[in-house]
Amino acid sequence: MSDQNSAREISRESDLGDDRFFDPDIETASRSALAALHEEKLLELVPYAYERSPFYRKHWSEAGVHPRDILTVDDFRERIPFMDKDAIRAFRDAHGDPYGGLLCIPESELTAINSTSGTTGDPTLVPERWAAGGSGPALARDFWELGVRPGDHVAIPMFTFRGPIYNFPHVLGAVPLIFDHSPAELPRICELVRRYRPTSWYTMSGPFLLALAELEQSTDVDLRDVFSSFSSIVFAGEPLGVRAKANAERWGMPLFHHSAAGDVGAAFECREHDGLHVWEDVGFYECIEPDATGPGDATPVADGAVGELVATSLGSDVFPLIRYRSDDLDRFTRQRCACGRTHARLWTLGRKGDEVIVDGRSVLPVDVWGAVEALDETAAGLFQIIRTQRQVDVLRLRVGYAGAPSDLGALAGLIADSVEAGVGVRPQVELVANAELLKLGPPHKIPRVAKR
Amino acid sequence: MARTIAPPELWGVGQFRVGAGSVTWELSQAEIMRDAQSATGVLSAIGLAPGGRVLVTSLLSEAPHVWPLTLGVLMNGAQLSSADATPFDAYRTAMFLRTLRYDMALGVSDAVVDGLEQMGVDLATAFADVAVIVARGVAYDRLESAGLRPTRMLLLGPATAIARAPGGPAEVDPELWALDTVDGQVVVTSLTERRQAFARQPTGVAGTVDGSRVILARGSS
Ligand SMILES: [Zn+2]
Repeated sequence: MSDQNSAREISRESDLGDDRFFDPDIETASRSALAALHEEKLLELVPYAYERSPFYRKHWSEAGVHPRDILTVDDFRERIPFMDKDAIRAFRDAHGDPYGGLLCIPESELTAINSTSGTTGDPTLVPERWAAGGSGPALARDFWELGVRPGDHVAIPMFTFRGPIYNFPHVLGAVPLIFDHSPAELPRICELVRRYRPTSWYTMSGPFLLALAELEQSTDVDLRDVFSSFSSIVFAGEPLGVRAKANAERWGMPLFHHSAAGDVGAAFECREHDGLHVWEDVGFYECIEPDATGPGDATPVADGAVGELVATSLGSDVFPLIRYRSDDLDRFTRQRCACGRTHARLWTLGRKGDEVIVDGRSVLPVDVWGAVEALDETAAGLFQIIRTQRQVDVLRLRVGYAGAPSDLGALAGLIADSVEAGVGVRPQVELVANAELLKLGPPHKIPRVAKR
Repeated sequence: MARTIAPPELWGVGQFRVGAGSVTWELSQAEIMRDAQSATGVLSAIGLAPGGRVLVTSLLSEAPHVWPLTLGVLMNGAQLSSADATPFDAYRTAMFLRTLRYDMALGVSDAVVDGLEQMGVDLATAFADVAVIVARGVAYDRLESAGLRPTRMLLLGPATAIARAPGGPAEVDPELWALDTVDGQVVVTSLTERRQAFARQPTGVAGTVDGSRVILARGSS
């Protein structure tokens, strides 16, 4: 066991040398080298997509843009129009093209046709042509930084719908322990973790942390022991609430945050815990004023400020997203990280589509979270903002409670007090049992806004 | 330059189910490839051809059974889509079936059928254009009741058994597995080198065997 445990004790000093990087040349490339790479790839991508994608030909022609106009990255920024998921769906429905007009190779050359998660609406297709190695190389950089080394085991409680991502530890010489992302799997996961002592976990979620707390109460499992071998536990998606965070700390979980980056790549925290790195050889990322209507008024926000992430895929000749508005509100910087990586970092705040404006004040789920979690009955942090439209007169919340509180009216009042104190807006609170809210989502999260 | 690291000899650690319990299962890269070769032949035998397209519904924990089948789809020159075999993710299965043409649906389970029915999806309509529907558990019977002609699939402990024609009994590859019964339950023995060898491993499946075929006990699925 001792040699296994030593894996998590990777001393920072020993890691700050070359051993810290899986691909040092690209991970620490100078900003000017990255800028040159962007210019080369973007100027190649624009005519490529225009020739092959009916969506871009139509979309750009309507904006009066032709590839011959795009000679520099500045031209790209100033002229190429934005697109989003709704535009892909609209093209799909209008033209009967299941790929939304974005497919740039013959359909017969595809290996797999998977789909987006679709938790916010109807899933859209993600056609893929698999190359040897698959998604391994980019993920390998992140998990190398998170301490995975040859001979390690990696616990992977995941889904199947994005394809065989669970194979990625092979690129690092590591072995996947394969589980369903289902709270029902937790007893088995705990047992196998104690047997194999994995060093990394991909992915942890809010409902999993909740289920672990319940497991701890109902059994004699020692979660500090269960999590003692890990150098990283990758937490995906939602913000981590105060209670979940306290539990994770008590169990000795070395948590690292992870998020999608505009459906073009992934973003992972490094061991500095100072933002999530994106890989800029995989995607060209911009951060713009969220209210921008087009390239004409899309001012990039200042470095380190909050804006909407716009992503362009640099690595896909199959289904490239170009100036894709992610709807994600992020703080974004291109400052070099203390880890030595030069690629941009972001801090996720929420989805633009989840924001409500109450009395001129912006409220995102992340703002409400802590106030809901602060009460024992609603400590699970399960809630939804009722968002009939962006501008609302009253903040309406649907909040989940545990157990059988004797006075629901009084509880609603306490929640309203807590939210008012934290957010500055007094909400109307509708209470439902936690189990009802958990039914609304896949096992790893629930929708944080509801239309009614 | 990115590091180049040899993949581990061990492909992964998964599980197989025996009744309500599960057995931890270590698999080598070599046996996954051998199982994939076998799966390639089986999928071809039941009608998968180059240019075909397969919708695979499974749980990630079933990867030790499903990854060789997935490789088999690709080695047959066919395309694949994946959806989770859960009631919640049935909306994805429904979306794929509505949006694209599929020649085969592989691994349709009770959870998938439950989810489709909860959505109000008519099974006969949803699968009408799918030539080969490989189904397991009670899903097989439910699809048959809906007027479809499913092909039987069984996760038989560590082995995978698939019928060679609709209505026929599920079969294992006789080069990989030997079948027998103990007290009315099918047991499997591995015939090739495996990281974990199996000798008369209980499967939790009630029935009799006829060579490499499984004749399910009445009321068993
Ligand atoms: Zn860093």
